[in-house]
Amino acid sequence: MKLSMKQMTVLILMLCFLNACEYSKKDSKQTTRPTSLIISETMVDITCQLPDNTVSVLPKKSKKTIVLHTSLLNLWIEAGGKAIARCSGTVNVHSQGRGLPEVGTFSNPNVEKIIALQPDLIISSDVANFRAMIPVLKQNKIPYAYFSYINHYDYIQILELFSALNGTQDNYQKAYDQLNQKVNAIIARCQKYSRPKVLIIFTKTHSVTCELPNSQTGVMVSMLGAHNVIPSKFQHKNKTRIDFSLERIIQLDPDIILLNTMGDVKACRERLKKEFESNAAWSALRAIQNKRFYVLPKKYFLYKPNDKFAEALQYLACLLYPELEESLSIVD
Amino acid sequence: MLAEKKNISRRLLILLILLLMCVSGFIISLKLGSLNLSIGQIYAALFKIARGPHYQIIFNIRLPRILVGACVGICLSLSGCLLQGIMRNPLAAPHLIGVSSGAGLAGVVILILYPGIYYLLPPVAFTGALVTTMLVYMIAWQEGINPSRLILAGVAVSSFLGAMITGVMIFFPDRVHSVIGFMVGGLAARTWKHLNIILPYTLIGFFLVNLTARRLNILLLGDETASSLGVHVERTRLFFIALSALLAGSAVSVVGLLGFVGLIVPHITRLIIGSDYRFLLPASALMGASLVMVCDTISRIALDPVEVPVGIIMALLGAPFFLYLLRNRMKVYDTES
Repeated sequence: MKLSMKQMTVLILMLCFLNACEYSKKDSKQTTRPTSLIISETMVDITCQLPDNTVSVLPKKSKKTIVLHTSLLNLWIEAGGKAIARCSGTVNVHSQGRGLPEVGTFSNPNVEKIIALQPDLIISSDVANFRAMIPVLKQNKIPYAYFSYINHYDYIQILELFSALNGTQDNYQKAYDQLNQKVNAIIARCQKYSRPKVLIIFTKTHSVTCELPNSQTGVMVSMLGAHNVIPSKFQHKNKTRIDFSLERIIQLDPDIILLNTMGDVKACRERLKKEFESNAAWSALRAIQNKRFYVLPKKYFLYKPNDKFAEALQYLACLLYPELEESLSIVD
Repeated sequence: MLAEKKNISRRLLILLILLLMCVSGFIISLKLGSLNLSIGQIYAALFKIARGPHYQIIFNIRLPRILVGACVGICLSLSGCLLQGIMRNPLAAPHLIGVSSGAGLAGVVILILYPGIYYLLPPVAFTGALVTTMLVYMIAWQEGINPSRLILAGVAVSSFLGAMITGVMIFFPDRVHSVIGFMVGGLAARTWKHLNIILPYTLIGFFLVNLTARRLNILLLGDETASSLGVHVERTRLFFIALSALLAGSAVSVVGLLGFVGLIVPHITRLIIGSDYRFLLPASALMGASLVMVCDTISRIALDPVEVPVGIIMALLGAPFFLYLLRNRMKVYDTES
């Protein structure tokens, strides 16, 4: 069908408009999270839910598991599992995982190497290149699962599944109960203080990228009763960050600014202090004037804290509510 | 003689209209955003009340951003205009001489491998742009520069560096997001510091190109004719290539790989004002500045408060507009023939 220039322009503008509507519609699609990824369980396997509403049947007590994501590998080991290979990377790898052979990066795994190892289970994060590998895994009858591991709620769900797969449900329940107790105790201590407005930034030079309420740090902030100035209506499936207007940030004027960085935390802290204080727009913000901007440690807030979640939450609670600092010692 | 006078008057009028368009674009950009402000509020914020959220938004967020956008538009469109003249190729643009790929690789290395020193991005990207352009020139040099050889060398070097960029992104997939904004190009969080970086290059570049526009007109007549008219072809070509790289490199170092401007703006302007570089260059500068400012405003308000990188808006709106102009012009040619 031949379109005139006018028709093409209108079509393009309509597509942009529809995308904008999608953005605002997405919040209504944020349905309640499943309470468990486990759909059904037999003596030998578990049927679980995958991110795109498909299911996968995973064998229990797998002997040759390959895990293609460092945080998931740490979680697998925490749940009592063993792996025969992992994705490449040196940062934040569990001590038990460091010596494992590598089979490519998490976004670009080496299919040949994986197949050659003849795994009986493959675990990955939800990335396009792994999904592209699925037909090959199906042909070779290799069970697989992929997860979107973003925040603490995902941690609970995935840990439950991994514990069930490794037959360590008792340990999981004990660990979960202990963790929950600590978390609830921390949250309870924060209740009596007024809720600060918080902005979470992922430090980049070329835009102001803010973390949404569904991000790892965002979830912690809302658990502690503080208010993320970036509305949840911009949340979208796996999207946890957004390029936000600096003008709107000026208007929102957060009480506290939290920063996540990929670089060296100490160096970032020094540099940002200089930048914020010398930049007239930023220095007008209440958070900067009151010196309430904090660069968060990577081990708790950039990487997944996993079983150290309570420590991470306690650290954040002391930043958000400084009155707590001396009295809060739920986690040593 | 009379016809020529009329022509010049018409072109000067077009320049004036473009200048007014630029000023209008500037005012509209100041007015519109997450907070729509009236002219009175803008005036008060700029000249009367030096505090408060309006002042912060106007003076410390919008004004530097708009001015950086204008300078970037000027630099990239002049750069593209110069290259299309030197190479006598309508597809010539800053990325063809390695500016984009050199700056891109330097930027990617900093943002992915050394994120702790990201504040060095502008000078490193600028250096990458210039070094790559020199490399392309040296590869293409063979007892002189042939435009076709220069383009081919530029394409080859750009492909090579592009592959390196992709390689870095593949090996560090968890850091790719920090590079996307740079690769697309955007004006978010541009401050007076960024304006201080790009403004000297913009002013010097604008001054030099307009001073030497006649030489570019002569170069268009061909190398032999230009030589016979007293123009040292190789030296002139090298001067313009260096100037083009300087202009494009300064823009890329400040906003990232903002494409489209250097390629399309000279063509849009040529359709309106003709190919005389004495008018085409300043007209391209004004058109480039207006286009970037308007597209940046749209990028700020289209999905407010979420910001879309300006490079995306420019490609979405500018390309159809250019095609529309082209089709109209082709219809006129068909009618005349």
